Amino acid sequence: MDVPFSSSGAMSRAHYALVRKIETATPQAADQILLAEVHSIRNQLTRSTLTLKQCKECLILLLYCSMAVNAGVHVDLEFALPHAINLAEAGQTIQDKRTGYLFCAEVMPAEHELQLMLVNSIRKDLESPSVSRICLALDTLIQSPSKDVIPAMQSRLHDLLSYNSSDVKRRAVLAFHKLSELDSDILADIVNKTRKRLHDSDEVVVSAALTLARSLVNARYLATDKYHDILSELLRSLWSRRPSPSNTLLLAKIVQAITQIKPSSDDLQVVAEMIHHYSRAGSAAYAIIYQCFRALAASATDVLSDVQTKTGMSFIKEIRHLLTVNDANALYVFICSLSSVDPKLWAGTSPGYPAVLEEWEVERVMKLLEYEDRLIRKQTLRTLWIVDQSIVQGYYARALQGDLPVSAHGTDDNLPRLLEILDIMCGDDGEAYAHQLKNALKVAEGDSPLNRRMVLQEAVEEMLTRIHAADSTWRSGCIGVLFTSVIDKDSEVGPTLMVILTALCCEYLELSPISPIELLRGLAGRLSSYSASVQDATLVTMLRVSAATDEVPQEVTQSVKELHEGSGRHLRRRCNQFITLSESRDALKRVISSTHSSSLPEFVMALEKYEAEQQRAPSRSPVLLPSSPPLKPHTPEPSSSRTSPVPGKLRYAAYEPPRPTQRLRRMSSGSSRHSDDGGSRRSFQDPMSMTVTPGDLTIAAQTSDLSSIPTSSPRQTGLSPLPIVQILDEEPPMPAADLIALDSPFMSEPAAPSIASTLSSIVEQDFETTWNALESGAARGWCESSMDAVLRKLQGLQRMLRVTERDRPPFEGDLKIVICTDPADHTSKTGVAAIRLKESDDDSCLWWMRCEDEALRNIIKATLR
Amino acid sequence: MIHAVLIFNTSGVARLTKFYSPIQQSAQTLVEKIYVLVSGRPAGLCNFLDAPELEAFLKPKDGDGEKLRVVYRSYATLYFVFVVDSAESELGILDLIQVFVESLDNAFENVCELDLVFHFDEAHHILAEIIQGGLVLETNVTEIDRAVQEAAKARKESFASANPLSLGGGGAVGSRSAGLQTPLGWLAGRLTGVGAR
Repeated sequence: MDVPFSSSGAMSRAHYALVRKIETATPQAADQILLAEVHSIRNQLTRSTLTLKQCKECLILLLYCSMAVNAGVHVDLEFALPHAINLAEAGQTIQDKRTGYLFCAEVMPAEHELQLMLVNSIRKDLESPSVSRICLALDTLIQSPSKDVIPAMQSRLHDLLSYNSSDVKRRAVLAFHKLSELDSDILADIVNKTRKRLHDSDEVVVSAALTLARSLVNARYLATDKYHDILSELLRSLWSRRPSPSNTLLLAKIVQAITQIKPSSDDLQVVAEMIHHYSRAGSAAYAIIYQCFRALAASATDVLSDVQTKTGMSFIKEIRHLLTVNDANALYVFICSLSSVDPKLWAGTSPGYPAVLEEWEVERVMKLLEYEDRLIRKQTLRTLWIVDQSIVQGYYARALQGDLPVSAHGTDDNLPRLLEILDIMCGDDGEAYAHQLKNALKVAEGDSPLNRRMVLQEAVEEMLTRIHAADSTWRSGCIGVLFTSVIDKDSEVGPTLMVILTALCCEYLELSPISPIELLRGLAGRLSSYSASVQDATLVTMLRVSAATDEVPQEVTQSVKELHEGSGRHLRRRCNQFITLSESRDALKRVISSTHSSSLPEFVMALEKYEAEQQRAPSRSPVLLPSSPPLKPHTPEPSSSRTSPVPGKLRYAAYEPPRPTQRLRRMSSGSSRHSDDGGSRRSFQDPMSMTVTPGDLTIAAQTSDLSSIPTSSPRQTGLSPLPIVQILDEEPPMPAADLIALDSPFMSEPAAPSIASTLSSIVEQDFETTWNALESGAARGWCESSMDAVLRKLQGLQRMLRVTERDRPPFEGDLKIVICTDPADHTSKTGVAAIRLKESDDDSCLWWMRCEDEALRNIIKATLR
Repeated sequence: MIHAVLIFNTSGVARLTKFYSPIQQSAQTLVEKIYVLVSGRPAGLCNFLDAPELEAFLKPKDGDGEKLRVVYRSYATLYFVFVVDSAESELGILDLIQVFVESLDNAFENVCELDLVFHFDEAHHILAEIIQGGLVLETNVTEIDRAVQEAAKARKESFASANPLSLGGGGAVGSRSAGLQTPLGWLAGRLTGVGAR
């Protein structure tokens, strides 16, 4: 970013500096800077000398920070809401007020307690003589309508419908529309005014009034036939002016409104004229052409036929030239238009209606089946399905045999195209879709043994998305067929289908036509056939299904035990989890109730969290899984990823991939940073391939008991001399493996807390308490060393340190260190210091210290100098 | 209805995010998801795509979620993306994106990514002149320009009254052209100069 401050347009040097830092930082470093900035602004906002200008700048910067952070980092801006409301209320200029309102609109939840205070500001601005202020208040009302405001503002809003300024009128109209979604009674008094606005001289007011008129019709304050008359009149009046193609948005809106209530023959004549007029107008007219054909699609064939006869035109003939335009959008308009008109009128399949398209044009339409754009392919299939179902069926048969030509654009992947065809062929029939899906998957997977077949991740994702988006009838039909195949012993369930089933069983168990016990038996019976990753997912699902049964059948437990015998570490742990939790119903129910949704990944996360809790408190409850390996982040094991190419993604990718949680070392150890993968700026790291630097271990050592590392560990020699590290007494010693687990970027958000995070949550509280207790003796300064180096220097003091990571509260973004002599003594302030470190880009860091022990303060100051 | 308006650059960095429906997950996650959907598409495809997977992110009140569609245009280093439901015409939205971009261009005079970085509040304001609560408010570029310029004028007056000794306007919109003979090459450089992140 080589733009000097003077020409950057930044509102202040602080703004410029922040943006500059963010634009040149790595994503992880940027997050740290942004969090630190939010923290700093939070402090600024508490100053009593804060001016409105400063307040405005702070709010804009906060909005910038919250937008600029990376996924997985949450910036809570609610603390600034009172300032935003104050700015909206007391702002001297419209710009000030707008910033206040904008902040509230972006940050304040719908039912927030401060909404009422905002309502007060809105009310005052609505009463203002300034058009800008009225518009601002109306904008806010449209953006966040609330039932509470109606009594206070209804009468003023009513007046504003007839205000002089069209800026106010159209906003008032839209405000009524938005409020009527909450309480349709408010429409009772505005029918006449709305009709007036529909005939307003300003097109944008008419456009807004059209939206409101639809609400009036829905609420039965305006009869449909009257509404139709108004629309027809508007259409004719606007069309008489022959707006230019680039100025047809209102025309398109009127056509759309007429489409919703079924156009009359007269309307269609106008529409036909419009098609004729605009069809050669180029890309600027695509939107209006498209809308016109939507109107045709809503009309009966005989009416369309009459209109064609009366006007002497053929709808399709008007747009056939679009087929030759080298523009995907034009092709889309063409193919959508083709499917909007009954094929009887253009395909040459009915006597009296000759074929409109010539042979080469039909060939070109068929070629669209291979087009690179999925929407165009599907729309072409839809059109052909309407013309002749056998064409699509034949095409599907060819696709099943892998006989489809590879398109010029390289869409040679057969399965997605199979699913596209299925979608069109089966339409609203979920059962038929499920039957065909099984066939398609069988063909795509091949004939090799089940445990050698690849899981077709694309199909899993596609199918789950399809089911989520489907209506309830389609969904239950599809699920019914798929679930039945689990218990049908003669039916082969390939790994891809099995993974789909595991996800569906978790999510839609209540839709199952099969009893949970039978489902459990079916899953257990098939368990041994698959590769480890599929077995893992199946076991999790079986555990979820077992919660719906009274008792797990003996043969199911037996199957799991058999699997346990011959499996690797990860699966053995999963088997143990199943055996233990399926017997402990209450615990299992608790796990299920702790999930936010019923999805499989959520359930896995809840299981991990539960297990982490169990491991953390062995003294309070018996260890349920004595043979389980230490808790590790839920990452695919290298062994299982060799047996199947998808397993890691399998468990997550259909949902949300785990986000890398920032860890301390990502900031400081450039050696372990990986570059972007595939052009994406988000980088994911394989914990097994990461270099663990001594610096990393030092940081990890702050929250882990290093004494548990075997003395023979080669890493330990690199750490000597070790600092004296204070660990909370009641925590159990942690296995050495967790040193790496501590720092894994694979901990998903919100992930099951690692033992480290639990430790630090206790330490966090400690830090805040200590920090607040040490009110006097504050100092701060810059240290020309990196945070790592500062930490080492402090460790060199040979005192007890308690370190809280930067991504943990309080003071997120700062590394928090408490130096003390006796951790059990919370009252003494002697020998106690609380230090916060904030790293900057240039390997230096800013420190704050609170220490009432003067001698120690001087020692630390000297150390940090 | 329009559910979201997003601007992000070719590296996926969000420059403006506006949601008209409640979002179920963080805005950043949604931007990332849409970036993946859009950035991998070759130039020869339609400017819109079905995105039923976004239903998990945006749950429209009226239940039109199953028909969520992403409409986008790419200009220089920026993607302008609208997420709409089936009540909106994707081709109409494509025109609306053009209106939005032209309005930004009028307001900032040769708009570039950097303008959105430093003036994203202004970009919000311009967007608010076009869309309110997910509904189209204005589609006439001249009218939008008039409304935005009025606000800029009001701000400049206010700046002048607050800073009687200042020599120039301190307002953001249009202020860059006041006396600054910015070479076009520099402007073009700005188009590609950002986004190292």
